[in-house]
Amino acid sequence: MSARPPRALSVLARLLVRGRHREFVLGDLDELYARRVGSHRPLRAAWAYVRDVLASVWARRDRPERRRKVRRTRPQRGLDPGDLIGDLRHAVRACRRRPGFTLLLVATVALGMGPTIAVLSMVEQLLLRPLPGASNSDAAAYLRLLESDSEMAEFSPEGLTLHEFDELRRRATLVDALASYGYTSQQVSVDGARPVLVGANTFYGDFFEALGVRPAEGRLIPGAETALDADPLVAVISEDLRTRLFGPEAEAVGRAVLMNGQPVEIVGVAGGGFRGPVRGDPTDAWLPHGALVPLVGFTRERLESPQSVMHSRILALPAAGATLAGVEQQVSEIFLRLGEANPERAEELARVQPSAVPGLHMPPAARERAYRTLSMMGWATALLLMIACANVADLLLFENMARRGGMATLRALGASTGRIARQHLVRSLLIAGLGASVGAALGWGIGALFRGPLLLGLPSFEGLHPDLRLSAFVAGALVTTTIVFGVGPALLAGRFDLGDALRLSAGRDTGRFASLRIALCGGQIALTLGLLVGGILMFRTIVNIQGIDTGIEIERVVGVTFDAPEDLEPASMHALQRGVLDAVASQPGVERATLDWYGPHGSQFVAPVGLPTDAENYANLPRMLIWQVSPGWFELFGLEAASGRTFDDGDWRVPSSGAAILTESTAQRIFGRADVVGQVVWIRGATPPERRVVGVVEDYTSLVSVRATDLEGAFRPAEPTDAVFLPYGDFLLRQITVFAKMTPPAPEVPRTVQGVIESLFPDVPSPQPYLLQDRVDRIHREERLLGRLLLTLAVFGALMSGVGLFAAIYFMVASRKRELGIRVALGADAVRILKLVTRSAAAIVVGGVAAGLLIAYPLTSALRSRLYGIEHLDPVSYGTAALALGLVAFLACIAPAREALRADPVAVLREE
Amino acid sequence: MALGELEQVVLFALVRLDGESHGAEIVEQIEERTGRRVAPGALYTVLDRMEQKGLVESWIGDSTPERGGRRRKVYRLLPAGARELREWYGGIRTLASGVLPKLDRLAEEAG
Repeated sequence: MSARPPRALSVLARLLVRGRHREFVLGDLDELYARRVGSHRPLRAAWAYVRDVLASVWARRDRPERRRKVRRTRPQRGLDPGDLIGDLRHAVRACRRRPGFTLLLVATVALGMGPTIAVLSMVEQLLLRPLPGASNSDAAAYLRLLESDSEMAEFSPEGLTLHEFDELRRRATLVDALASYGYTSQQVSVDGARPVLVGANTFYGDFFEALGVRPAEGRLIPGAETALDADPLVAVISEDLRTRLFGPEAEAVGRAVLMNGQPVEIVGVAGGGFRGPVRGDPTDAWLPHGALVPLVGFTRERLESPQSVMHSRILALPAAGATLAGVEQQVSEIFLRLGEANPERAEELARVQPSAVPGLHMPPAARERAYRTLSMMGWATALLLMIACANVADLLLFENMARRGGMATLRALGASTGRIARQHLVRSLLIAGLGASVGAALGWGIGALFRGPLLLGLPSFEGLHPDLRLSAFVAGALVTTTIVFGVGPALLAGRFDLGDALRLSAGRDTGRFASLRIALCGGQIALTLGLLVGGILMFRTIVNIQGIDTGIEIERVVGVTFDAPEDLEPASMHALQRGVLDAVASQPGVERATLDWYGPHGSQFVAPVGLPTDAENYANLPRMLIWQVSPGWFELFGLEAASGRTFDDGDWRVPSSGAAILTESTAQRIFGRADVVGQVVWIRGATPPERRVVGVVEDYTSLVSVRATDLEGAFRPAEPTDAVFLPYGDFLLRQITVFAKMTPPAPEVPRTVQGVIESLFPDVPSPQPYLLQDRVDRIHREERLLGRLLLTLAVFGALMSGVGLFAAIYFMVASRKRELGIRVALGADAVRILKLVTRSAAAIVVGGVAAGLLIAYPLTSALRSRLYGIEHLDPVSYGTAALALGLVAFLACIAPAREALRADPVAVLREE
Repeated sequence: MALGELEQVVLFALVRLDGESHGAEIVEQIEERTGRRVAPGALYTVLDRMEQKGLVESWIGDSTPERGGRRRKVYRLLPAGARELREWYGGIRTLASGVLPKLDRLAEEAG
């Protein structure tokens, strides 16, 4: 027996080779293959076969004049269009013949792809995008010293001393570059202009080497120049800062700027848009570690002290061939040996569990939380995509059933399965292409809707950006959709015979695929229910948080935070603070003003508080939030005194008046009663620590105790905050926050207070004013994001489910036309027909909802830590979602029911 | 009547195949003699054109198992085709006679 080409190849050839000589060309191809197999290896023969097939197709396509000639002589144009252009024309005709149906398909593909593209774009921008300007973004790693990294890592005892870090650099042979870095903010000014506030990093070791930064101008600061003996007053700045300080074209290298009042020489500008080692926490200037002495006021002894563990944020570039596990292992061993050499530190060093977090795409602290949120969004989007896929399959199946007659006739007239499949393929490609284009536009729109800061600690989402990976995904999804839903139904179509076609003329549903269609439809409803329940739960969480009765009023309150121009003696600082308050309070449009540190919902000091007799055992005392507020604070925020009084000017003085105000619950907690005016309370760290209570105010809830604004996960129940108020300035701080309550209507951009600070202190950077309400809203930013996204997806899902159900019911009505027609003839009224139709829909909806409850359970369980004031199995939310879907199902039934009512029994029977 | 380059090659192949053959054999013949691979699809385009010019004629032949049961299309060189090829070849030979050594020298200089 002669050798035949592999089946897949001959199918390919049969699909591709067209035209008048098709039979002879195919025969020649097979014959050539058989001859070549005799003299060549089979693989080579197969390759030659493929090449000949492609060359044969190409040869025909290359000659348009020939193609036209062939077409003229074609006997059965409808059945054998012969080329892709013909198929495309056929597809366009088919789409135009059923515009509504085509629109549904295109819309479904678009609704499925749009949100997917938007969410993928978010993932790409927030998680996957490399650190700008750092060529080692993939290769380098954050070396974390503890598994649970937190924002406070810098202040925790788990850092390294300078000596330990030097030893680590010397002994770690598996890393090419190692550097530690810290954050500082600098007031930078040039030529006497108003300074700007700039985020900066101080670093020690091979910082730029580890990151792989290239200079755009001048040079970078190598590791050797970060030694404490080297000149600390040199800086590399970002391109952005260069433009801000000197203009886009000006040279920056060699120029001196003032940083916190000290002259610093700019030695270089970092290239490639480098903005520091952590995305989402951009910095614009990089200085050697030693700069902390002149610029921040640290002493050199402090930097070198064996008690000072300042090196906790560490970057490592593994050597070629070294694995991260190897680096971790080596670093652990080094720490063990360091501990052996220094028994005082042995215990702390033993606690260090170094872990190398690969890649500098996102800050390690935000990593887990962001992954969790984004993976939830990913799952939700995947659900929507599944709904869309089910809907496309459902619609195509529906259409196939409706077109069985036509296809069976085509088959009977000699069209091959391959031919029909190709027509379907081209048509699906057309629809998928249209859908993907609309989907991309939709994705862009959704991206625009979600633009801005989305997740804590990560850069802002900039909206949809063209990206290679994204395009690859869209192309992949397009091809998959096309192949699965285009060719699949067409291959099924190949099984239709003429008998089917004839039976179909009577409009009867033979029941084939009916169960598959119902399953697809029910599946969509189930998936939608999952999304809808999640969306409702998140929505109600936001409503619950916004509905928390905090006991204080923050409407129309504007805040401005700035640093006093210099460190002052307490008395001068007090005078300055009083001057600021008076100046702001006297402004037109300002109802009241007060001073605070971070505001009623911001971070505060925490200190042990108790009775003076408990001072010895302070470790056992409850830790409470300590607020420093100026007179007028309670009045501005609407917190009234339950007994005694609030602060007045007499309490606010230097030296401290020793006054304190408690909330009712704090008083209860410390003294066991609320009436404690005149009693003395002890606060660790305050000067003086013993405080006379001058008033007790109503309880209030600081949202910081509901959710800390750091990266902690779950909410805590809203309970009265344990708070102690001291007169402003009792803890000396350079930072000042002024709050002003504006008279209504509050301006959109509250510039008044900013203007006062600018005119009072020409030498401090211009502060940014903010509405306190906006700061408070940040607390549930991620929940808002998830809620908006889930609800948006759920609405899309519900729309698609409605379409799917509509198609299913419509088809059911079409196939039962005869029965319904007779019922109408026998006097069935509209209500009865509607009942009949909805009964069929109800079966699908009930099944879908039941399955949906199973899908919703794991989704809502995953959301549990993001919920507030509501259980993840909240029956009201589940019920609302089920009801909403029921309503959608009912709406989907109306049109098919009307169709059924219009059925003319005489016409129906005549068709029979 | 001018002959295209592929037309000349195909006509020569037909001559070598005793003036009568089908696609696969012609393709193989061309490949064997010139090392040039001609796709069957392209071959039929050329043969079609030459048939219209009256240089070859064709008929449907038998089918064989190695062709997957498909029939062959057999082409025969017509006298007009043979004349055309002869004329062209004669012209080329006259033009080329005695130039080979020169051609070699030129090629060497250029190389």
